[in-house]
Amino acid sequence: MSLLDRNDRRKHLTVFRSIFPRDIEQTYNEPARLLLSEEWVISSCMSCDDPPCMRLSEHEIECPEFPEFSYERDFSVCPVRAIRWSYESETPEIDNRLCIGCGLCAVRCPVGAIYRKDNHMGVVRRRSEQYTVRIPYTRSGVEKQRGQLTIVNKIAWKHRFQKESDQIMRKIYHALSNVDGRSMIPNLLVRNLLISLGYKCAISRSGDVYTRIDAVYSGKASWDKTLGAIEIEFGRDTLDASRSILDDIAVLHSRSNIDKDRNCAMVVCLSFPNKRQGYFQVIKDIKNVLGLEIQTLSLGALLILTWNSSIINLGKKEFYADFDHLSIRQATEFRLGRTINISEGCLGILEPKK
Amino acid sequence: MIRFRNPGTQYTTQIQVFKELYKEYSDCASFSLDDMAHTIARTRLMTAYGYAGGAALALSQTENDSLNSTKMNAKMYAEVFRLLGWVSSVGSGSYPLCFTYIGYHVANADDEEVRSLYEQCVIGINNPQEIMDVLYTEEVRFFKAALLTFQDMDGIMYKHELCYGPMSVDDLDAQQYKRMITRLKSIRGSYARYQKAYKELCDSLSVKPTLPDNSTRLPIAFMKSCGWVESERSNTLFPPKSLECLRLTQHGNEMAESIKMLKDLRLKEFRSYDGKVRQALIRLGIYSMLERAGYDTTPVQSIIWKDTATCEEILNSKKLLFSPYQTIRVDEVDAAMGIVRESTSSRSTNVSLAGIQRTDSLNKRIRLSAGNNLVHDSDEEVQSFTEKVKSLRAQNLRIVDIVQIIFDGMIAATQTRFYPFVAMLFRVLGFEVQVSRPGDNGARWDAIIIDEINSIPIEIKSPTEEQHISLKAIRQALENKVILLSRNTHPTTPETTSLAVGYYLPNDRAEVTNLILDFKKAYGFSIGVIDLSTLLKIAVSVIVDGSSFDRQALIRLEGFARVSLR
Repeated sequence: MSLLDRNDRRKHLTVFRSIFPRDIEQTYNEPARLLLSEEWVISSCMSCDDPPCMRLSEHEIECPEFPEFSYERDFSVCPVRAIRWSYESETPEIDNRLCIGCGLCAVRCPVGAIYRKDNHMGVVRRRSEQYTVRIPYTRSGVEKQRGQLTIVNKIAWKHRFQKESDQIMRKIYHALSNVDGRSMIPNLLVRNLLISLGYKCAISRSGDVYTRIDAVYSGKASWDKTLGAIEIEFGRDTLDASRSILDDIAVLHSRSNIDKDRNCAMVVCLSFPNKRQGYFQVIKDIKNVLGLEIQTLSLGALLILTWNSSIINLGKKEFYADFDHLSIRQATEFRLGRTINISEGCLGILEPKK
Repeated sequence: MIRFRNPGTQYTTQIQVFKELYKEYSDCASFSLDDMAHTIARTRLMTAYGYAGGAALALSQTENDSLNSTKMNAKMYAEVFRLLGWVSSVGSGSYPLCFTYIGYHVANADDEEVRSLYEQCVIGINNPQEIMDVLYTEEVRFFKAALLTFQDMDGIMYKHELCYGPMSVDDLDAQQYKRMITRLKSIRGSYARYQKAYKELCDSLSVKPTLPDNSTRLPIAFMKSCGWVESERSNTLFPPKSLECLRLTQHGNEMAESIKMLKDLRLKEFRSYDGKVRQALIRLGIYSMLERAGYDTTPVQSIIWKDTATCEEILNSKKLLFSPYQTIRVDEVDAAMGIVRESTSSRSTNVSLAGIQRTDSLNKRIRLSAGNNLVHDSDEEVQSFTEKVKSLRAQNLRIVDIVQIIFDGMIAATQTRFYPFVAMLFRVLGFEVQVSRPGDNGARWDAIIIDEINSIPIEIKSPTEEQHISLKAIRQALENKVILLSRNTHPTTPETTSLAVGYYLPNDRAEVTNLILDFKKAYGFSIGVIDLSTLLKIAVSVIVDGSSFDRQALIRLEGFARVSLR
């Protein structure tokens, strides 16, 4: 017996007519602009077949290097489900009441058509009739669009979602403070940020009480052999994070043949622990005794790096901080290529709070 | 009260497991529980003993099926899928299973699409039905009743109100529903009244308080996955207590409003109609579910029109709320839908055991031998303990009885009593022991055996913190070792043990053993675990008959200390 189709089926896609963009550029809080012919044209939503702004792919959320890791199959880009597909406009639609402003959807748009202005996310729907055209949503249409986007993806350009500030970060941290502590939002957020920064990342399944490792990651490119375990600690028990990461490294070493010295493990926290809490002293002890450099990254640092399409190298342990050096400001600025616009100690994003 | 069991409550995993099963068995007439277990393990959608995939499958094989965690996992999902009407039993038993027409749509829907159909299936859950054996008698479409109750209770409820509210009502009886709401409202406003009502419910069912509480887990997970409710802490429902409650969302409210407009058909009424009408109701039930979930019913519009005409008097111009696969047996539904299932054989999975075995407990015997061990009599605590032991011995009690009396006496000990007590027992054994000051960040261990060569950090868990030594204690013991070696506050060697001491040995002995072995393999450090009873046996033996014990065995302890009394 045949199955029924859904009412809300896709009907159209957008493709470039005959001229493809030669370059793309973006300034903060604006949609990107495409260089078409000799003209800079404001980018607009391509109504992608499988919209990367909404959905991650299987190969991004799985790390085959960790064959024993039972991972979550939530493919959502938006950790708070603020983005939905509008079958009416045939573009994604962002619910600004739910949106926390993480920018993950924006930095995954292949043409930079999603942007944030005046505290609101927007999707550019008005497209250039001269350079783009709507075509029926058919197999050949999908193939045509995929082919064009493959060419666009080869253009070396950087998203510029928004420039960080204490105020912006406070808003995001405030929004996250209302999140149910048991929800998957922190883990999804961290996973998706790392994916946007060029890694594959898998998080443990929601409700799986038997897997103690929060997440694992590995390099996306075949030449990048970096891999590691991740502990995600958005609460205050950062000492538990240092214990957990030692547990993770040992379990992976012993049971999954991931050599402990190869494991570029890290802790991702909401805010850097206070110096007196003892976390950074223990991180230093671990380095002294076991020779393991556990990196510490904050959510804020990951966001800032993501908003600027920064390229990071976790394999080089550039985000290692311990009791003797309590900051990742320098490493973050190095990757941004500029001074960072966050005051010292703000929310514990780059160093412990004052 | 409806007993929802406590199976897999995670929406994304439910969907993923179902899609994986569909991929594997959609071309089979049926599939078994073993097939499901195999697929769930292979796709790494479950873990057992810290392993996933084939290793988990191998580790969970036991002769007793009820101890086979992979199979139990499969059973859990089978139950959810049957409840949602995605699979149904073939034949008279519970297994094997086959996919239903609704199940086919779920399996073929993308992530976004599947939510709307999922919602319809959740609303479709009703009782009585003919597909599952249940222990309760309530005649209720629970999720409809729950949504309406939320509306009548100002949009907010505490989870246990579900138990003595919509889980305990025949919702078609308007008077009974009204009385239920009146009662819920009368209990509000006082935490003591809530406690009394909940206790009365448990007493009337002759169950422990945990059972109704556990029964709320699946329905809450369903409602949250559908986006009908969200958590909200409130102290206004049952003051002065602040409780994590559930708040009806706008979407939940819209859903409640929309289902009020439908003709809600239940089993009893369905069975009252003749065969032709029943077949029409089955088709209308399924197509209206799919239509509400956003499916295009144009291809079957002529059938819908015809069936609507047949059922005109029943429907009274309303759309139908009736989920056949969740109410009646699959063969009756299939016959009405014109679905013919090929009687090909079901697939059977051969499970081969991987080369991984569960690790048995790592037991290390500490030998007691005749000797002339001297107890430190300069220590007041030790002296007092020694006198207590001797006085008990004077009553002709055996060592084992003395140990039991002291052990029982410590069951309620808090950190302030338990930590010094454990330290004192080690001093009885002749060690120099120092208890850390609370809040001393430099000494993260709770106590330390100070030695010229082999100082040993001790992580202690009092019975009021945790009765059974946990994985957490083992992890802390490792951290203590790392800190001691790094900070050099006391002399020690990498080979010297780091101890975790608690009241009882761990519940999950196998996982603790695995972790101790993992730490040894990865870092080369030994973690020793001693429960209070074992420590007491050594200490009391030393006092009573001057036994000496193997100090080296303790200093090098890896795993669980064991001692036999002579």
